[in-house]
Amino acid sequence: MKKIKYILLFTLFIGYTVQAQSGFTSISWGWAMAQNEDMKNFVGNDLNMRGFGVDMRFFVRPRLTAGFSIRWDIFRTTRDEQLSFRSDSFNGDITGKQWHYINTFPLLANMHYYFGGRNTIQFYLGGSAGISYIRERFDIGLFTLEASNWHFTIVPEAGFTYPITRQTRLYTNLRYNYSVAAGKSITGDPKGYSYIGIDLGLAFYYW
Amino acid sequence: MKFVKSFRPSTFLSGLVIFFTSFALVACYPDGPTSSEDLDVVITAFDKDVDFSKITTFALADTVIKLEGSIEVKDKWDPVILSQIKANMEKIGYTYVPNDTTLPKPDVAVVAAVVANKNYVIGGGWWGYPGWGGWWGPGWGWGWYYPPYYYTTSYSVGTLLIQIANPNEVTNSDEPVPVYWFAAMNGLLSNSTTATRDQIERLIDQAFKQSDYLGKN
Repeated sequence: MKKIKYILLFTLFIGYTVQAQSGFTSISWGWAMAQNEDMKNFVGNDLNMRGFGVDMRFFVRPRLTAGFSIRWDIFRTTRDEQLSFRSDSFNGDITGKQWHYINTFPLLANMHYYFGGRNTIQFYLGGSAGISYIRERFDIGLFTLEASNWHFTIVPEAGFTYPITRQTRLYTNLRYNYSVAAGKSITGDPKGYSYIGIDLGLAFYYW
Repeated sequence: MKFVKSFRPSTFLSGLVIFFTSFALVACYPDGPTSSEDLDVVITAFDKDVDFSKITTFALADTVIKLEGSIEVKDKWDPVILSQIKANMEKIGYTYVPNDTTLPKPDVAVVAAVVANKNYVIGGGWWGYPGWGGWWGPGWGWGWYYPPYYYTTSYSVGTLLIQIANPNEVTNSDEPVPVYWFAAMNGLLSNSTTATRDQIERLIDQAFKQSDYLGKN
């Protein structure tokens, strides 16, 4: 019964998006910076410039869109410092160049409200919710520790689009990705991830 | 509002897709190691109940044990390894005792071992060193008190292991000899003699440098 309900909902959604005559697809390049302590401790808080996203939105009202997005943000840092362990079970130190990576892949549904006319700058406010696949990796020498988990994610967002041609607009936004703690990280504890992102790209409209 | 008339979104879109796909294929773990030195790792572990400042003398095995691996390790590096260990032990205040049973037993014994492998698994185990003469029994194993590690790789990797152990603490050969300090130095193997010598010396120096609890002071 539950399955049928999901199938019906999905069919309605697909039917609705096909019927919807206007909307846009944006492709963007992203910069992102870690915000919470867990994430900053692991990858630092430098601006990472390796992000990529595709966002599809459909006008369900003249100023309101609903849609979905996929993103990929990469965070990395290298470190040389000595790792020291002092405990009852193990006492030791490790040195070597370390590479720390976090790859995040949010799959989100979104809703946005727009201010401004079609032929001018259009600001928007909105948010997304969904799930993120987050992979954490620690390399030292030829040793690798890796952990990946699914996290519930919400993303409040504000941005604007600016017309270049009738069907193409410059697209930019500022977003805050918040993924709740889940699963086991490489240290064994559940970790949450939050980061600020800025996206810059193009939106291709179908009016 | 003026639009750019010559702009073709479909062409630009294709370009973007190609650009981002290329980016996607290479970017998951960007900016990795750029030299073999980047892959050197030194792991040291110690027994927290040992007061290393109370150790005065040490013996050093006169050969480097070759643990079984998929690549044969030649003896040519033994003098470099042993002299570097000896130099570091003396530098931190310990006195070397030559392997001569007419002399008093040293406080600790130092043993080095190497293994080189491709696609290998290495774990903690026993090293036997039969060359101590009359100080300690020839069949005695060397205890391993720390969790074994293992990994597999397609590179040729060399690992140099050093143990500081105290055979004086055991009375028969059935008991494992307590290891006070352990170092594992791991890195890619090089074909260059100069690079290998530099790597050995650098890694041994680092093992002692990061173990500042060792020594008379």
